[in-house]
Amino acid sequence: MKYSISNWIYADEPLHATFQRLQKYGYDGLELVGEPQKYGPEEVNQLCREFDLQVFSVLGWSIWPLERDLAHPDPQKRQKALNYATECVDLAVAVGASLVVVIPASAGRTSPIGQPDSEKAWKEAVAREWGYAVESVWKAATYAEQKGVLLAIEPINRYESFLVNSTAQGLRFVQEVNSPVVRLHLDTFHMNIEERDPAGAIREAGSLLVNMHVSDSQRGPVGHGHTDFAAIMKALKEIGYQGALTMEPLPPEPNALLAVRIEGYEPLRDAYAEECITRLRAYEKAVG
Amino acid sequence: MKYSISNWIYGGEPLRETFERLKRYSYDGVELMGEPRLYRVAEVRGLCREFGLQVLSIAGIYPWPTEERDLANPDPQVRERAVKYLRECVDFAVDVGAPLIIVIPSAVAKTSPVGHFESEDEWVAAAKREWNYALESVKTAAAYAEQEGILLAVEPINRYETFLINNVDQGLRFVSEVGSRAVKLHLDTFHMNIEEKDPAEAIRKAGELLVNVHIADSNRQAVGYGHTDFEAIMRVLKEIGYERALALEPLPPVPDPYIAARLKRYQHLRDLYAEECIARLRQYEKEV
Repeated sequence: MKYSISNWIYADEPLHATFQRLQKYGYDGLELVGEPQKYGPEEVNQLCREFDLQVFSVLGWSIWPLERDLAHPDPQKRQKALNYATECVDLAVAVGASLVVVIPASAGRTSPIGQPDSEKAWKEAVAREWGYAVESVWKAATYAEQKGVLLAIEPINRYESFLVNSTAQGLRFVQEVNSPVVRLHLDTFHMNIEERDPAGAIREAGSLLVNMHVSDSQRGPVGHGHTDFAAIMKALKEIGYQGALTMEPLPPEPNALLAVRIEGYEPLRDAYAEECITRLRAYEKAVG
Repeated sequence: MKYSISNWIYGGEPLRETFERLKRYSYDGVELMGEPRLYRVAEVRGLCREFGLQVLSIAGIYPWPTEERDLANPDPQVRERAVKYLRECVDFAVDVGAPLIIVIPSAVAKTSPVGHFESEDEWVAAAKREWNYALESVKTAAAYAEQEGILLAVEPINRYETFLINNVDQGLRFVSEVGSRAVKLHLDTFHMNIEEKDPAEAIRKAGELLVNVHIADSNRQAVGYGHTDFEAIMRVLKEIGYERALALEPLPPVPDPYIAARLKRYQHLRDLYAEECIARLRQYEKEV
């Protein structure tokens, strides 16, 4: 298994410090937050050589209300989101990452646009936005296919999106887009809320699963919650998972975006990076 | 153990239908939504007699962003209205013979302190101020509740619904700082799945301060639809000598709970969920 950390959890930390930490604790690589203007590929590639690490994935950063919403009913806004997705694909190519994580409607948007008030209107609006998102991802996929990059659809929990919350919905979405480069991403924190059986969800995803986010049930490091990582590692082995385990351990503060910016928690970064990889490696070993 | 259902999950269903369902599946009572103006006391009491059921708790409702019931609000007038609301709930509890009211010390869905903050430190400072405002409000309400012989049960809810009290440790600290014999703790299995390292252990920590429990599975559906370890939960409830109500809150598979409660297309699930929840919990109760 390959071990990685998603660098959005380090907020504005200079990349050099992140690479140092990853190397120190034996990680294989990282996930780079999808901010193409922020990173010079030359610097990233230089750091990869210096620390012998890889960029495994680019995390599409489509936090509402940024204009990066692939499901938005306004065609101009969808076009902007599509442009952003292609920029992420370009970034992936430039830094040698094999995939971009895609959330089909902005994270943090828990209702269709217009907040329809009747049951019927809500249902119709969700269906329309689902259709827009499928179309947007299909367009992004035609570009990604040319560039040899995968798009990994991430279901996120009900409090962060109204559109794709579960593995079953994610698989249906992937199937409807129907492109060879569109696959699935799963996240242990979100699965704890949405899946009847998180390990079962991984089996359902099977060979379509190309990237994983890992944090414990309360979004802290592995071992701080009650997620059954033994069962998860076993399921990953069963499906022959070849992707990365991308850690996202957060400090104990309810708001994720704030948690990563509180200075008082910075000393936890090393400890969490170490705990996550140590514990998961032990589970990996235990399942053989 | 007593079994009840919280009637907010039935949207605007007439009380008689709810009582009929509870009776049919052998519940002991009901948790009524804390909307004193919605009910006629004589009707509630009549239904209790007719169906042999009790009102076991009142679920205080604290919507946001309306500024009517936010006990932690920096504006003293808002807090005064919120305390007045709690007093009305106490009167209502007395009238319908309910022993307790659930109190959420900052409005539900308010995921940040009131105001705009330039830095993380300012945010943290504001959160601390609101904690103190909430303490003051609950103390005032508790003085009234003590006189009337009604308990206030503080409910920790998950990070996506409040920034203030998310877990049992915070809840216990709050209860201890209020320091009133009328103020106790409420726990919820759905929220605990997100926030607690070990939900059963959280119940043990609460011990004799625990006076009410909300039950839904990890995905907020009926018992058995998720991965919550109800056997461990029932065992620890027995260990701490819990004899009060398990108030069920099973919701249909829709991301937003308030929409879920109203959706017509899921109403046929109400009977099924009510039946499944009590059957499964009783089975666990028997086994432990």
